[in-house]
Amino acid sequence: MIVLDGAPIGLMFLPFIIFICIIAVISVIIVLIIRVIRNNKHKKVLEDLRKQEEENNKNENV
Amino acid sequence: MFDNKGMKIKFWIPTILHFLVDFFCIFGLFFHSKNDETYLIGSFIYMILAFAIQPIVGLFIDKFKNEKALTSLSICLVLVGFISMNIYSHAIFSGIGNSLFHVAAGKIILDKSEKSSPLGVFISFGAIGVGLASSFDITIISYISIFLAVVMVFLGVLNLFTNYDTIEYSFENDSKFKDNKTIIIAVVLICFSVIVRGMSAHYNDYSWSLPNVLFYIGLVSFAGKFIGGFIKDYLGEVVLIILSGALSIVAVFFQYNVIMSFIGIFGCNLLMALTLDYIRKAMPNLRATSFGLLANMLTIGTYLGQLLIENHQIGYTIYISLFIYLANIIVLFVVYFLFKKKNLIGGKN
Repeated sequence: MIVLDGAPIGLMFLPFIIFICIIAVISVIIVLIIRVIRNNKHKKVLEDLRKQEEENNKNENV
Repeated sequence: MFDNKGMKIKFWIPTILHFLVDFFCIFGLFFHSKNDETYLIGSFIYMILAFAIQPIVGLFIDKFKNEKALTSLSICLVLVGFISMNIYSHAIFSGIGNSLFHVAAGKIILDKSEKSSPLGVFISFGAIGVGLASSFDITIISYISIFLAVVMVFLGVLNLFTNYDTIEYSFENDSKFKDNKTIIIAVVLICFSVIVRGMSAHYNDYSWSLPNVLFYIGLVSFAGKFIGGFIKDYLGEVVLIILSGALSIVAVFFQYNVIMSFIGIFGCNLLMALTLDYIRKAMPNLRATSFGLLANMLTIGTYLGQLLIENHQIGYTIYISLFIYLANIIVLFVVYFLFKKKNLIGGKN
């Protein structure tokens, strides 16, 4: 009998469960990477806007 | 243990619910299964939904918050599964309910406490629920379950109206842990530690005969998880890692003895609260995801251990056990030094 937190399960299912666990982790990693890329893009856009605004202010002063 | 008396009482709601959720999930699998085949398929569905998808559920909770309502929803799902009187519907409902509960209630505990002891207390009660559900005669447990179901409904409703005051982490908005490379290394090492701990469950010699053995194993696991957090809080992680390693390694050589085996299981379970504390330090903005990630890793480790032990000679068991425990200690010390370098050890934690 195989036990995970007390619940037994058949041997033949083990590779499937491990496989699905790994798929779940990979999908979470992909979501996190997409989130980081999006955040970076967002930051870049904000930075560009800030620079543009600074330039506009400079030009106005000139 | 907690910051004030009110908080202390509030922390017991998710903790006792953890015991009840795990109890009903596992008991339902035994209770509703008609034969071995339905039981195996039901368990398979349950394991996938309850453990494998936890990081995805965590990601969902981290994004949409509202973990209090989701905790109560998960209680409903578990009870609906149990009263559906069918193994497959029970496996689906209780699997989703269990996954949702662990991550949502786990996040409540992670969010509301800065110490490790509440984490250990919360996790430990699950072990005793599983132990109780899988050990005794179904008829006796059936009578107890009626009373427990009433308590579960009451606590589920109470949870909905409880205001869990948030304590913000001292390191949450801190810039000291911005180094992505260190975060990734720390997360990978913590995951490795949890995988090998999961594997160790199969490297115990369970040949000694003892009635209701699963209940006693649950009780010993409960004690280890419960005390681990307190040792970390009061004596520090170095003492905890050394103590856990020493108990586990010494027990490897005396596994034929039931007491020594239990000491080994106890020692191994001491590290539960520590790894949870480390992962929340590594992923402070993804606390629910991190909680789910470790549950997932424990599942991978448990099944990987089973696959390994089925495919190698019995004589190697002792060497693999030693490797598992030594690797666990070394990895956790590396994480400790990484965190110390980043000033994440000490302070309020």
